[in-house]
Amino acid sequence: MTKLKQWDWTPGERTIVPSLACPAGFMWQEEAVASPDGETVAAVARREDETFTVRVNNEHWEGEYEKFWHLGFGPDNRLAGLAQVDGEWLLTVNDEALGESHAFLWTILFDEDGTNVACASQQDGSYGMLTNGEPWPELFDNANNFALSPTNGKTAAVVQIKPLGQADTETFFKGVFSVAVNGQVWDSIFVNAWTPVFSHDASHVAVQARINTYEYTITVDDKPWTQRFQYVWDPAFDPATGDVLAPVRLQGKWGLARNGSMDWNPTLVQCWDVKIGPDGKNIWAIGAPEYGKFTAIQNGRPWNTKFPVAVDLRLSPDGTRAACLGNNNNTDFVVVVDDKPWPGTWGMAWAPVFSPDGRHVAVTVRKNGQYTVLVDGKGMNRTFRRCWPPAFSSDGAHILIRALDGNAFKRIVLPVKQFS
Amino acid sequence: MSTIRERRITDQGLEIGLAALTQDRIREAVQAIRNSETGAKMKVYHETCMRCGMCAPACHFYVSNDNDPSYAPVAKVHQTMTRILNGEDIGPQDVYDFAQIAYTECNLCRRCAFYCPVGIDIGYIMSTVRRFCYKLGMVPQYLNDTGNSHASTMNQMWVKEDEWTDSLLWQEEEARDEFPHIRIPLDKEGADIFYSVIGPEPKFQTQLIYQAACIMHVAGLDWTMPSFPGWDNSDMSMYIGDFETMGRVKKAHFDAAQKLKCKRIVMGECGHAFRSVHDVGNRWLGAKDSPVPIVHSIKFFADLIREGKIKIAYKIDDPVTIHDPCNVIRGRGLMDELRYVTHALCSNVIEMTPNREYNYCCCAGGGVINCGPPYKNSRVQGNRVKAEQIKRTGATIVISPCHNCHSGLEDIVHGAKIDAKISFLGDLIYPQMEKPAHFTEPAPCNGGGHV
Repeated sequence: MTKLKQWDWTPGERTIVPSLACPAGFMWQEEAVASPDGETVAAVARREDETFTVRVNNEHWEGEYEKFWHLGFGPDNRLAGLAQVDGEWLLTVNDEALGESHAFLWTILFDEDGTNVACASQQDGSYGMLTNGEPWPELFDNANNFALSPTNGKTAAVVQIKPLGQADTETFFKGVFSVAVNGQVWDSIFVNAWTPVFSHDASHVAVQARINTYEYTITVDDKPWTQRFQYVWDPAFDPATGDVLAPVRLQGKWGLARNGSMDWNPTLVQCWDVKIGPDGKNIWAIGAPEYGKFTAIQNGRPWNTKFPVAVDLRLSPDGTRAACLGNNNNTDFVVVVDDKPWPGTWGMAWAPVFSPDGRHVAVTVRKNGQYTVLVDGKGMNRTFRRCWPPAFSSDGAHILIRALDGNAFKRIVLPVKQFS
Repeated sequence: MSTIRERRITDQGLEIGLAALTQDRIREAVQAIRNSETGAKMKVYHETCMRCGMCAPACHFYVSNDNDPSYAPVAKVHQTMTRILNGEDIGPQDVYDFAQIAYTECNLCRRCAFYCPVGIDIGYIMSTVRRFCYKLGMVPQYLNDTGNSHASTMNQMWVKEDEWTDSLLWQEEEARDEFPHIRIPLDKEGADIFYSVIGPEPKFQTQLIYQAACIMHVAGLDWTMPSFPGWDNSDMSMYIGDFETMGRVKKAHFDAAQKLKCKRIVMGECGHAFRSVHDVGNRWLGAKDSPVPIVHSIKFFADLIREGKIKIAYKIDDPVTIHDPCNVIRGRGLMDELRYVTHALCSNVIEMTPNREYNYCCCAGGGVINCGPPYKNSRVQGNRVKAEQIKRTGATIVISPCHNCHSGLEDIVHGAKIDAKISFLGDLIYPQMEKPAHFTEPAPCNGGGHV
């Protein structure tokens, strides 16, 4: 968890940067990113001499880069990005290079509390990952589906372990892919594999696997389930039991399998985005009980409130409550919490955020280009040019809002009771 | 009249599949088709068809092959799906025939459906035959390879993740020589437009990304492209009959736009991808419509010109004709918008005959061009009618706002020795649009203005 208690929760409004406009002398400044604690705002900027740097509040990094991209804060408020120097790429954290330069780097991943940072790498045409700047011991012909464990700094990816000639379909269907964890390759060879998922303590990895042209299953720690399915989506670990659950397709319908056996019978038109509470008693997913009608599903029971699209399912810390966003094909967003739609529709909405005690839910929404924050269904009677996702104090009594008010970046702390 | 067996083309992928075929597997696949929901639809079509033959002259393969009856859409169905539905003995060699007919002698263009008096969708029937073949491992090799790429990389051309982003960074840098402030904004959250392209663009048509960036820049649009998988809107898996991979690829595409909280997806000049996102792939995922609105480039460009967001500085005088891509014209009715854009760019537009929704297919779509070199000659021969259409117009430029059409028409004009070049709309908009000085001259910030 991020160190919420160390953040400033004094109610009130602070202007962190009076004007985020591109400073004189710069060619341009790119989109701003805000630190989770709201104390820092940053943006990639291009100097007149055509080098790139990073603006942090009212200062600029000293580094001069040929190009800079993928700027973002980790959960621990460290600022990371990818910088090009002499044609090579560096992972920079707080303006310091983490590890050696590479031919290309991409996909920066932070773990749960920001302790570990990883990214994908390519050097001399071979692919792997860096963890805290350290490259994998072995690289591969190709790699994708990069993952970093929630804790303990382990990385995984789908890797190509055999050469594949152009249009060599015969070799492809014999299998050329596997999974590498910290660069160590599993024995299993797959036709395809997708989305390695770590257990919370990083001791286990599950992956979607295409066993042959037509059969799919889940493989956990290099051992495939014995059952085969028409299709599968991303697996998830039950934190209480270590079981692996995944949406699976049988006879044209979707259900949920646990360690290969059906937990939810295949009755759904669609099912994905499985999330499980910490005690394993509440299993959630996004699904469609009917064609074209999506909603949240708890322990196999769909909510009554259904939409053409449902996204951004989020659980309360104890897993007993859930929130998601329903929408009409990306318009008229509605926030739904515990199967109850909040009043109002929005042009766009961001993922719901639960307070640590699970009592409150906050959502950033946008309408007609103006952003605001809703808490427990009520607005704050104020709009902004931009809002980042809000955060609650550890006791759930206050909410932090990070916003652009005109050109000013502001950090606003409000009592949650203000929204009641 | 020829027979499919007489005109067999050797395809390594089909040969490999053939070697592994057994009667049991074929029986299983037949049952899967007959006993599924699709089987009911097929039976209705089968029993509704009057064998009137109205579909025959609608088919470019039939017309281009001297009205050979075996190329008539109804005959293609009779040689494939009808045999499945009738429970006839189907052997491995028959499946080879099915695959050649369904994958390489039908573009799923649905022109025949426009002429069928009872509206039978033969494109759908042939798609189902393809699904049958896919289940038996009988897919032309090159087409299969694009599907394998989709499954492995979420794009059609085996483009690796670094290659994709590197291509965007490179095109941005190139374009800065022309527009000092231009950006290809990566992963910009909350942007209005999520711009997606198809696999060949970063692979060997990066100038199209350059052009799109310039158009977006001059129009002053709020747009982004993702640095992660989901950038490719194309979908050869749909045409293979590998609906599972199709679903994964479409999910990645929609997920990418949803993750970045973009309002709409604007897609490049591609036809089949449009079919996949608004008609086929979305439905396999359980969505009635596209979960994120999709705007095809034809409509996008028309709106930019109509709203004055880009101004066309001059029109070209060359004789120009318009090819109507099946998936966006017959499939979505963008014929007027296509003409609006073309006439805004060209002063001498000569229509093909027939045109609009009745225009002939390019013979490349439906995955046929992706079946690769073994079928190039039959593909070009199978669209002699299109060559004649183009020739009759006397045009030296053929507008074709679709990648597969573009490539297929290049083969056709080359094969028929027609002095015409094939052009995307963007190929004309980019050089012909006004580029005001404030876009082309470097100017540093003055410390004011909005973020």
